[in-house]
Amino acid sequence: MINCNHTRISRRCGFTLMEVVVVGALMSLLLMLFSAAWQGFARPTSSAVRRARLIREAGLLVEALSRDVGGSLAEQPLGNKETSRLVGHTVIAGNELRLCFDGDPADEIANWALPDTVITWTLTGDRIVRSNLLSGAVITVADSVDTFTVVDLPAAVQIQVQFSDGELTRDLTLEAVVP
Amino acid sequence: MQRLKPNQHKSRRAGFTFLELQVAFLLLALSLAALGPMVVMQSRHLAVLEDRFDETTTYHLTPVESDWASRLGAAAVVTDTATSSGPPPPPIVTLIDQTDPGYTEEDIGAIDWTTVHNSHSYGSYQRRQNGGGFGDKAYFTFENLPAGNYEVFATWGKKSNNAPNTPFTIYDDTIQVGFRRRNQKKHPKDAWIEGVRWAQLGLFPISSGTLKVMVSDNANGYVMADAIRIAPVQVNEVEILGLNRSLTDDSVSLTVRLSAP
Repeated sequence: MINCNHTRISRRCGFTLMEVVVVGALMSLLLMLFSAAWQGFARPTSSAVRRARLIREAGLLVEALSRDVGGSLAEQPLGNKETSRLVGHTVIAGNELRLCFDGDPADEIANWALPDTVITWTLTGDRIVRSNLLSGAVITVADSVDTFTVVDLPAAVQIQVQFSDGELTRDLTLEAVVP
Repeated sequence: MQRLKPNQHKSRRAGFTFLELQVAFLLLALSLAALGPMVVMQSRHLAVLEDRFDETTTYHLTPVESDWASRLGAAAVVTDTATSSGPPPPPIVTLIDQTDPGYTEEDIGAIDWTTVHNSHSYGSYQRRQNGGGFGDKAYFTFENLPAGNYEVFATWGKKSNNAPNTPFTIYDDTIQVGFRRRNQKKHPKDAWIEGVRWAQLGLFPISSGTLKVMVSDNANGYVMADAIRIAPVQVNEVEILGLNRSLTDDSVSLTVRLSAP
């Protein structure tokens, strides 16, 4: 480096071109070494983000489903305790779950028509969709879903879901107690 | 980067000073160093999330047992072990009318049990045994009861030709635990529940899970079988542990222990 303490005007100060070129070459070498380390750092980081996203989708699915099988229709949390109760379920083609909530007046029978409310859980594209068949309200519950299987058991349903993001997959198995 | 002074020659080249490069590398090093904690935080967050849902475990969603809790928005309980083999049990039956499944009759000989209208009876109708002491009986059977003590009430619609001494026999399954006679010429008068008058038959311990009330025709007049209501009663035991009277004033202290049976 040139010393700028001398006051001759023609004298330049700072690094010479050669110095900067040498430093640049050394930096390139360091970056090459660093990039090799980055392979081991960035890939797991990217994978972790995607894994976390799949688990979050699974969590959203569990929370939404636990609302519906909790016993009463989540859309109508107030009123007589006998109305809007979960009174029946049915499984369509192994990939659709239908839940029937009692209407007003309550008869504790799944009529699957007004005044009862019917909620369906289906796989649409790569999303699990919760639909209110009577009001037409549709909500996407979970994303990045590969498969959605519903098995009818005595007094319960088993729901198997596989989430996927690229080559990453995550399985989730639920058993919900339903009337 | 060094600036050119106005009077400096144009050919003069300006370069980075050593201090500038030091600061730049320091900032670069700090940026890279900050990535480390981020990776640690992210990996810990992921571990927490992955602990929540394991791929090999079946998670059970069980509805809450309280109707009101569920009505007010309580979600199903999520556990990794099955806590219930089926839906929650139905609430216990605490009232049996003469049209309900828990009501049965024994009618010996000619048909003596008939349904009669009475505006004072539960549901405006009741079963009447026409008298005669043939051994006809009516049963009100409550099943699947938790063991405990139950207050038993009966109701009927009064009429002048009803029996003044209708016998009610209370069973813990097949074991008799009580016997009462009630005057059905008059209104029941012990309790008024949901707009209906009830006569108290007593408090009885039930351990078998089945409480049965039998109404028989061993009476002087028409016997009415209308409705029976039961109410679980928590009986506390009170044990006196100490009784102390003060020597200096009029105060008395009592130490007791309350316990449920």
